[in-house]
Amino acid sequence: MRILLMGNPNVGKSVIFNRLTGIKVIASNYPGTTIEFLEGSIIFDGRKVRIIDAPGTYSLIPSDRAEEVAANLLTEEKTDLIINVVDATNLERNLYLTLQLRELPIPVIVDLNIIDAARERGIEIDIPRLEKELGLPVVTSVAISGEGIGQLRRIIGKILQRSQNKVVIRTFDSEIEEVIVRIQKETNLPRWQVILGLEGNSDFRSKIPREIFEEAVGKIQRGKEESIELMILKWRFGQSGAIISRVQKVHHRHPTFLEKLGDATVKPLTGLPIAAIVLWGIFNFFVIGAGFITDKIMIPLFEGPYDKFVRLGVEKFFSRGFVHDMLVGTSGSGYLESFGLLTTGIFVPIGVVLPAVLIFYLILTLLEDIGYLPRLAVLVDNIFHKIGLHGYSIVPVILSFGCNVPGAMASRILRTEKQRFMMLTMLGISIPCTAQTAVVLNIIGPYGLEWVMLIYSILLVIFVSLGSILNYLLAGETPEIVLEIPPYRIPRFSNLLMKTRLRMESFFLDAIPWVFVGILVVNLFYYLGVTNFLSRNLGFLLGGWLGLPQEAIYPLIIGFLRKDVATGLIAPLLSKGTINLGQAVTIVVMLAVYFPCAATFVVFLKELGIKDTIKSTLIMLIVAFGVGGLLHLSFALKG
Amino acid sequence: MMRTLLELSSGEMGEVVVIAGGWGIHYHLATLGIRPGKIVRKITTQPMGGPLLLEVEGARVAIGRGMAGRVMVR
Repeated sequence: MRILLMGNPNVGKSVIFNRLTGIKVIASNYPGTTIEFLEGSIIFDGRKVRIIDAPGTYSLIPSDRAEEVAANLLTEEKTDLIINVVDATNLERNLYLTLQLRELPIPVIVDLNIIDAARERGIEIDIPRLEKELGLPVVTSVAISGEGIGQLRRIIGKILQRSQNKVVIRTFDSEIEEVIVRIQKETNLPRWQVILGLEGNSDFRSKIPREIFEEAVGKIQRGKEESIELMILKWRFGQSGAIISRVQKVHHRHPTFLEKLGDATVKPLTGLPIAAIVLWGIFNFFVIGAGFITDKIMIPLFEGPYDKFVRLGVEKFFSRGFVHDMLVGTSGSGYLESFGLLTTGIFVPIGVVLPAVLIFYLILTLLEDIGYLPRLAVLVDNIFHKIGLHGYSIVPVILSFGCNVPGAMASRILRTEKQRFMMLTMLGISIPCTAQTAVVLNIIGPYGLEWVMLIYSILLVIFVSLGSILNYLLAGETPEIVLEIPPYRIPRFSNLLMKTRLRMESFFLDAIPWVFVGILVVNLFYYLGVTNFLSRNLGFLLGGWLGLPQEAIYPLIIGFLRKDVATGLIAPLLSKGTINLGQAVTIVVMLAVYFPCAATFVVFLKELGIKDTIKSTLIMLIVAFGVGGLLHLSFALKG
Repeated sequence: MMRTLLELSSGEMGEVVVIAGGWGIHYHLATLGIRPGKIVRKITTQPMGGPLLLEVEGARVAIGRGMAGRVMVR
């Protein structure tokens, strides 16, 4: 048994999924939070029923990757029930999908979610009448507080018990109907597949032989400019408009404070200064917050009790040799530089990266739940549009500052291949993740925050110029922004905590093992002499043009695995004076640019395919060496 | 008098009469609730070729200028 949760973006499907299954999932106040489907299960009458949370989609005619995921869920496997989650404050446009869903040979329950906000806005919906008009059971809910979930469960149980599902045939106007019937007769395809094919779903369109399609459509289209897709679209408008006029009443009321604030944060005159203050505040809160935890809590903890029990403990058993060095690293050097599994291997992820990740995700979650990100997207749209993307690309960019993996996944909300390729390449090149940022702050920060700012300014310049160049070189469209902006919502503390916890968990599970692998490789390479071999044989690459010593090859190689460990390798080089600050900046920038870490690379392969990943990687290498050389040149000129 | 959404000044309202174009623009605008017969209010236009912010039935939506220029209002 399989249930699909489907609905427009940002209507609360993930919260309902969480309420039904108890599985904790990330839900935010912006369209496109769920870009991959999630699966859970519940027990109904002793039977296990799988529930799937589909990415938001406006219709069954996908116009981006996330919508494709949603539409494909319907066809790949038998579905026993669809719960169509609908935003009660935007019933009319949500009905478009509902009208499509009710033609499928699958039972549908309509769940009018966010019904509380609809009531507040003076929207009155006649539920029994809506049930009658749609011919579908309708429930109301406020998923975030749990209201209505019990009722939803009862109806799910009732429908799953039914042995047979009757499909009601609803006729279109005579012209469209004629086309449907004719194609159905000649192809023997089920009615719903013919309709979706005519509406523009390419999977089903390709099932209709071209001659049959053209003959049937040509007959009614003679002398008309409208395509069959547009005719059906307009028919559906008419349907949903008629239903709304019979079931919904809107009472006028004055705009609320949150609405006024919402508009103020997006009008350029007030919105731009607010955005500047918000971003500046975030940066400061991040640097100070993460710095405080590392300096005032983590370092005393590591240098105090941890040092006493762990490092000294190990030294008691292994006074020197391979095992000693593997576990606690070079004696006498600090936790950042010694490169032992139990010293740097624990200190970097827990002491340095964890505080930064925690603070970053707290801020991100807050922004997400309030609903600020879509407004930021509108404010920066003009800049992004000039570099071939649109404003909503700010979402993958911001997520990437946390970790490039979710950032790269979020690029699915972009509509064209060109935009996705550009976005991934630009993320891979110029957005350093929090892990790397944290280590940079700890190594370069002590020399002055202006050096850190320099690194970020260089990356920003790369981002903008690379975007312009790629936009110029690559063929393909850059569609304009089409974005609904959710109302501001007051974030729920419980959701804030849950999301931060989920993200921390995935940090522990996905990142920390890689840090260990990275440090293990560092040690093994050192002992096996690979380090020396590499510096002798590849070091020349770094000479002349980049002006880096042979030893610098080493962080660059480890950077393939983990950026934080690789950046950490700069610390001993810098403290020993093997490299100067300018060279350290060059290495950090090159590390950010030249290749995504292993985990991100896997996502690149999945999202882009092999060919485009290779293309993207080549661009990264070219940019890295180009920028590295330019930096060498400018530091040399400056002296 | 028919004008495009671009010509509407901030704060002004208009009823959508025609959308010039095919299925694509009709569809994408419809996902935001903009379609013939609907009343829209322009809230603001972002500078330097930026998008328009509109109010449609109580909801806020943003669309690019290219699309806005093809929506005729009255």
